[in-house]
Amino acid sequence: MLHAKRLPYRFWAETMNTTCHIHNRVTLRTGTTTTLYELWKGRKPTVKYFHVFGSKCYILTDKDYKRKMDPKSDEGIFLGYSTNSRAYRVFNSRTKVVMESINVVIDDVPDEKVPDVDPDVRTYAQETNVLVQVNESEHEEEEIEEAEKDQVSTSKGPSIRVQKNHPQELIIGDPDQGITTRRSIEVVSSSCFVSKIEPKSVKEALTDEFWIEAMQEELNQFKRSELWDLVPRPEGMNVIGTKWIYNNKSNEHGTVTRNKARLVTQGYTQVEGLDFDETFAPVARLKSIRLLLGVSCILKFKLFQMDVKSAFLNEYLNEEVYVEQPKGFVDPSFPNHVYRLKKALYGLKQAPRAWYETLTQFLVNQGYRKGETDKTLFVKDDNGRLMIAQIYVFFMECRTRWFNISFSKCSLSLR
Amino acid sequence: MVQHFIQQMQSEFEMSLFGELTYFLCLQVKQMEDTIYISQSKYAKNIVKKFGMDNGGHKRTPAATHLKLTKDENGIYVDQSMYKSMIGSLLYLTASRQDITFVVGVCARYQAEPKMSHLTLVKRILKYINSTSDYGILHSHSENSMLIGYCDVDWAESADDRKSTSSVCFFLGNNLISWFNKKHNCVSLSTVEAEYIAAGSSCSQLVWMKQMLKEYNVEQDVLTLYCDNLSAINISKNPIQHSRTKHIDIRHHFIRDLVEEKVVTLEHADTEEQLADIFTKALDVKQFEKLRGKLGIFLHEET
Repeated sequence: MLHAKRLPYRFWAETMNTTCHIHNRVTLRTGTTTTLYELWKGRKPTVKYFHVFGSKCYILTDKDYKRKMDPKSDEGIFLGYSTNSRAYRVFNSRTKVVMESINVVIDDVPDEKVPDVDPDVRTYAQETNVLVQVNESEHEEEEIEEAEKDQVSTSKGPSIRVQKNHPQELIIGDPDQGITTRRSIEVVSSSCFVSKIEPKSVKEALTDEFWIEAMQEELNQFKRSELWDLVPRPEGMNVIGTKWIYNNKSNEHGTVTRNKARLVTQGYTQVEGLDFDETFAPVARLKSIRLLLGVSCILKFKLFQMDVKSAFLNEYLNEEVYVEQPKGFVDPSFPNHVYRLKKALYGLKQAPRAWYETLTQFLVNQGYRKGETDKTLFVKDDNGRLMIAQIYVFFMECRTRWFNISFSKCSLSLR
Repeated sequence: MVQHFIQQMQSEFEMSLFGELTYFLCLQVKQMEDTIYISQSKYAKNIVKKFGMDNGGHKRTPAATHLKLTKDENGIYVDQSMYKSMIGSLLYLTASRQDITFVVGVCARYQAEPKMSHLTLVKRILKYINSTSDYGILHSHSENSMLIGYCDVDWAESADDRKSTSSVCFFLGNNLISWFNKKHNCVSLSTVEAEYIAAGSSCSQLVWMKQMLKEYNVEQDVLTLYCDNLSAINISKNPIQHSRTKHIDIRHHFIRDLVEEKVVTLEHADTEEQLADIFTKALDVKQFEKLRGKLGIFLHEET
């Protein structure tokens, strides 16, 4: 019983008592139909109050002084039954004493997770050499459920993975392809320093050095642009979760050229009114873009176009926004701290708007006048030379596109 | 000056891709001396291919003149999501191809319950696009920068509920810059009434564009709106509340106010010169190609 529940040996006396207690009430005397208890006391025993030995239980703390919010019960281990009252004997895990109490709630449900391997499998594994070790480490988490399956898989012939010493996906190129010419090696060499797989979870990514590097790069960029500060977890504020997005960038031949890891916020957990108020960012209408093209023809403008890289990371936030530390990169000395964002991060509800406002601020400082009817139009009149900027914010691609027009020959004042 | 601006921007943000405007939101823009050519040929070819019509036939007009679409209650149902995605793709194509605005607009009305007859028409549009995918709008320079509107209406056009459809297009100088085709949301009792509703919505567009142009320092005098119904023009000028126009009095006053303030004037245009005709009905090849040319849709030769 002690071993089954992994209890220390010092509970042996309690175990003994409980065994006797159950034994007296359950076992039938040979040759009769009565239990031992019945013979002794002359009445039938009851087993209603029996519980599973060694189960987790909760003991009501009725003796100690408690404040309102303090826990009402202590955790303990159920050990047996009192000999002179209806109480249970329990081991209180907090005070480390064996006590008798009647106010106990016992959790009879057996622990479904026993973290060790089934002994059968282990002995089997030792017989069938090293191969099984691989299988074991693979199934570490689901070992119990997989225990039987493991046995099946060990009986299979040795897998390719073990024979080759390398996992298949780390082998660059196709091993069956034969010798490659130098021209095709060029393609291979560019893909030497990238990972070909796109991990599905952080756990998976953290096993790959290229992806760790990619994530580190993203975090370094945040550091460079002073995006956030590590602060203690604030009281009563919604802390937004973060998520890594993994993406392989490939060139026109379809070979992977870069591993891109991007940290995004789970903006859908933001609450309107608390975490953000305005999300709307104006966008140029197609009609006004056409009008602009028409006008530029009449006025002989030359049109230019430009993009702002990672536009959303450039703007400052008005609201206080806190995010969790990125998974896999938690500061070991302050694991409970969160980051306070100074600039917007992808996925935040207010990101497009904040970017629009930053841009507006910048252009107005440069002497541009914001359009009265179209808020995405900026005009600068420089001694009759006209400069027009039309901005277009892509929500999806998180990029800003511009129309930018300069005056070419004749000046407006002549008209 | 542009260089200066780029430097300023670079000092503030991380920038990429500068250069002359060539490709923007699927619009291919070609800037030349005095002219700008806008086309969506890449996009057009893509959608024709996407819906498997690239081997289909070629048509010179997007719709047959005799065909009138109805709800077609007894028709065979077709896949709604495919129909919708066809309409969606075509609607974006109207950004530079105003010649298909009318047909696409008509087909778009039956998205809720598309039937075989509707799909046939959409396929015909795709065939037309297939043969004319390289066409685009040509904007050219002119000294004249007047804003002109043409408005036309197809009275009781819809066979299902007899609502009218207005179609309007606007020119800046000789460049077509804006157009739309819209089914009214109320039934009109007479052509005048329908015409008046169309004029009302085009006036609000005109006023918006006038304000926009002001931002570009392009000033406008009195804006001219051409429509082909004399009675409608007369109502706008003559301040008599006619019993027939009582129920459209909000628009009535809106237009009359603008006319009195000399913001807009309504002029008569003959049916021959009515450029908005292409947005109201399916035309025959001769008339269609003539109007399409007038609207500024050309095939641009690669030089």
